[in-house]
Amino acid sequence: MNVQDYAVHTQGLTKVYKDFWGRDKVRALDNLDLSINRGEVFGLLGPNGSGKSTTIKLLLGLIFPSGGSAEVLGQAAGSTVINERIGFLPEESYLYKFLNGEEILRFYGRLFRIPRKELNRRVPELLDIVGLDDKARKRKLREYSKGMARRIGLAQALINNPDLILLDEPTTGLDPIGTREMKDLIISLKQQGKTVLLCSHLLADVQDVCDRIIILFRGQTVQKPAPVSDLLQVRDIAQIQTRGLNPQQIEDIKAHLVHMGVNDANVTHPTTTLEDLFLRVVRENSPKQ
Amino acid sequence: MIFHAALPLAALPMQWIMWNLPLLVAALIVLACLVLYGGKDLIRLSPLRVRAVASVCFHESIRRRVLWLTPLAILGVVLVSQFQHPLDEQDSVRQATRFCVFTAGLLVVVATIILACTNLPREIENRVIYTIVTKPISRLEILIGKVVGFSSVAALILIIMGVFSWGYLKVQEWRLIEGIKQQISVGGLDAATAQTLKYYRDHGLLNARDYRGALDVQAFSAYPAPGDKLRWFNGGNEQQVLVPFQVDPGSVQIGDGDAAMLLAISLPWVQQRALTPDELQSVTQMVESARSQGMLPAPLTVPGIAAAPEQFPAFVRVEFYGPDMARIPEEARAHKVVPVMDATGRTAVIVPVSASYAQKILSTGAFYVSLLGASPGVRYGVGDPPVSLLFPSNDPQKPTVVKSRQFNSTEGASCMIIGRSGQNGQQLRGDEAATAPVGVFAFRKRALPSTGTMTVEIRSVVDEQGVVRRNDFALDTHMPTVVELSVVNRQTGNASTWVRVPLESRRTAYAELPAEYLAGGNFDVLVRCLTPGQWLGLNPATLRLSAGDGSFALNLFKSYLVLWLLSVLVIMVAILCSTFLSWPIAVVLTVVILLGHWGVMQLGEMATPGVGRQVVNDLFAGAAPAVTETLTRSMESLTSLTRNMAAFLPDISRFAAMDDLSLGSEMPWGRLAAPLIILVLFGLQIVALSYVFFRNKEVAP
Ligand SMILES: Nc1ncnc2c1ncn2[C@@H]1O[C@H](COP(=O)(O)OP(=O)(O)O)[C@@H](O)[C@H]1O
Ligand SMILES: [Mg+2]
Repeated sequence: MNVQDYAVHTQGLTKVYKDFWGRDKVRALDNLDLSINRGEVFGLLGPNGSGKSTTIKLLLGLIFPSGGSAEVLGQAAGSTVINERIGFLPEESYLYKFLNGEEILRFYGRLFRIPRKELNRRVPELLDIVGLDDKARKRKLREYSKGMARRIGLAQALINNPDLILLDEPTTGLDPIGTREMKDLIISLKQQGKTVLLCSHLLADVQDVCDRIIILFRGQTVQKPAPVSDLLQVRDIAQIQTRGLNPQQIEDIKAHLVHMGVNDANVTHPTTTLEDLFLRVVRENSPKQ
Repeated sequence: MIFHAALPLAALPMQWIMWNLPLLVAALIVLACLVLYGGKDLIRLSPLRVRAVASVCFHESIRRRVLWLTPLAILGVVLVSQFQHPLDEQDSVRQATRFCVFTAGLLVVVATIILACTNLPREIENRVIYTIVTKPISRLEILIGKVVGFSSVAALILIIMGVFSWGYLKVQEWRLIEGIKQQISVGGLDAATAQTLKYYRDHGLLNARDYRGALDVQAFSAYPAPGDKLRWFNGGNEQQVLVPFQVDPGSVQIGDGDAAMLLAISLPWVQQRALTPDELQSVTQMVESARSQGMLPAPLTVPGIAAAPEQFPAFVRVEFYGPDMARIPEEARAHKVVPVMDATGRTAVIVPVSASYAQKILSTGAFYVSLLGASPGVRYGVGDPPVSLLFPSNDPQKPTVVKSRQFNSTEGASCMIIGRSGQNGQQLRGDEAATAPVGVFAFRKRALPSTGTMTVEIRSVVDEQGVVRRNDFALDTHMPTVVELSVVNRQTGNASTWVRVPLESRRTAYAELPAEYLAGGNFDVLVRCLTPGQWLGLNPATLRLSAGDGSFALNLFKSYLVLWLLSVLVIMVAILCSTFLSWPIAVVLTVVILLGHWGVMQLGEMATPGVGRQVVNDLFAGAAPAVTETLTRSMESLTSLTRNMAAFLPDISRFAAMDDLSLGSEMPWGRLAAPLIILVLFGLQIVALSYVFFRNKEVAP
């Protein structure tokens, strides 16, 4: 596949934060190789401080790499022109607090040179999509709750109908319904053929919507990009789920399994397998005490 | 700012480059940063995006309540104007005007420095910048947008302050005029006050007059009519002649010893009158002193018998002035009072100058020889330049002669005759009409209407025998000075009759002169003081002609426009600093950049070449020559570095918002040219530099 065809392509991308004197302080991202296809929902997974936000900032040109290269939609990261086709939801909604919901969207719209008429149509539409009601739109952003700020942040990311959307921890601050809506929105974006790069430390987010994921830990790639389905593939483990078994019945089933020649049957309460995977890779990569 | 575009480039390429260095550097920076490095962003520049950023900037500043500062400033103006001590109504309004403009300027500069310095660091700190730079807006557009946004804030502040100032001054004017009307109706005023107050009543106190100033002012013992061969000046330490020289030290040979350079003085003179006993005594002293120095040959009188006055020579005091009209200090034997024996002026008096003093004089490049008439009751005539310089040459019989250069302001006259200099300019002695000396204000190429009358404003400080009078009303009003004015047309030689004006020290008096004598635009206005014992201080600005009255509101507007241009420059510098510094340091650096040029200018002589040696001589007098040499050199390079750095900083003293307003004169639109040029020259390169810094900045905290 041609490099140009990737939505995002990085090679050996590295970021070292320096202190005032130019000495190395934190190696926030080390040697990241990443290729995201167009039309894909890609998850960047990792615990806090693993370099997810750093990756996104590098892709947007907010900070500059210490090594390696990054291309976004076929252009070097940080190119102003390519921003026409990018939407970005930062970790927290950093917006002008003295404007109201509508004003801020109009402001961002003007940065895309969207004509006034078009904005008159698109702004209310977007506010509907992200679920901000009429009262909320007229209120100053400084009066917004965290969830509302998140929603308006999402709306500004979508104002230009972008091809590539970068979402940094999209569900933080949202209530369960909001989280659900966010996931639905991501799925609908995918259906519209858009590429989504989302990063999260919440496994449930990723599991439900992502096509492929990568796992970062302390800046290192601990799980190379792979389809979620592959990672969660059940090998020779069978899991039977049911409800309302009493201990006696469980003992009976165990006995029956022994009878069938299965001696190491392990009965637990189910967890998401991604969480298993996550905890395992993190444990494996942690320095041994 | 240095800008010598007219110089032929081919003739002096190196010098041209040096002179225009700041301009060239600016062009280079703009070319490299904006056109080459940022060419793409320059082409993409979209007014829509710039406006979007600007409007957000503007709104944010408004929401940060900067406008609340304006009522505070206004309150300050009103309060402080209560404490002023005006000389009269006119002065009161002018002081208030100055105060309004000063306050507005201070407010707008402080507000914009703080707003513009904190803006970018704050947006990076609270990460709002994340959602902006990830939009298709270039860093150049962000910067320009911010400059535009804050400039609008500055404009709004200035509009509010301007409208207030105008209203406030109008009310003040009305109040004062009411007071004046009452004073006039009550009566009992002296002539000078009454005349001035009536003038204020009829013409108002807020004016924007189109003033025409004099080219220069000279003082003579009598007015030299256009055809006169000699121009006369008075002795008795009253008047002097200034002879300008321009000598390249390399082009002459300076001798050594006490007669390294010679002055040849030829000055005809006339004893006007018999001397008083006091004068006689002072002349005798001069004679004694000259004789003891060997300047007078043999005793002229029989011992014990008093000399007849006509037997004395006339004396002149010889002094040297530098290009700035400051006396060039002499080491040993101070100023020479030299006898001029030959009253016809045909035989020259030779005055020697020592080698070290000659060195000092010549090192200034351009200097003046001053001859002050020292003998009382004598007047001296100036025809040809009365002084030449003689330097030794290879042929001892034929010394090198250096003639004086021309004063370019006095129509081919090679020297100027001025009154002795006092604290308030030249001093013009008051006397009876027949013997009173005249001050002459030269107006050249001043096209003015030549029908009806012309209003003349005269404002002077009146001395009593060189002592400045106390700034005290009671004293002044009891003793108004009588001054007479006349106008002489240079082409026709016709002179108007004398017009009498009662004058008070430090107060403007108004007179009407017949305008027919102004025809052709070349004329002299003569002034004489008819109150014996009083001295009139004269300088070219003492007397002004008013060619018309413009709109005060428009004048005020122009002043605020200059302030606005200044604030735009301030904003640009502040934003530049904030692209690479935290805001408190950015504020400091902004102030340093803005005041740098002005500050170095304030150092004045302390930063001129040659100061190094002086300082080292003063401080390390006893040190070894090698040490002093090194010290001198490092001092010199330090001062020249400061000076050269200053050339690259904007000269904010060129943003002259107050000068015309506080004189009540109409500000010509051309006055905006200097601020505009500085703004464009520095603004472009500042924006170019900010762009490079900002584009290479990681906008994460
Ligand atoms: N501006 C900065 N200066 C120094 N270290 C930083 C900076 N920003 C992030 N880091 C460090 O880099 C690492 C990665 O941070 P980040 O990418 O924000 O993690 P996350 O995966 O939680 O988004 C963390 O250890 C963090 O402390
Ligand atoms: Mg993060």
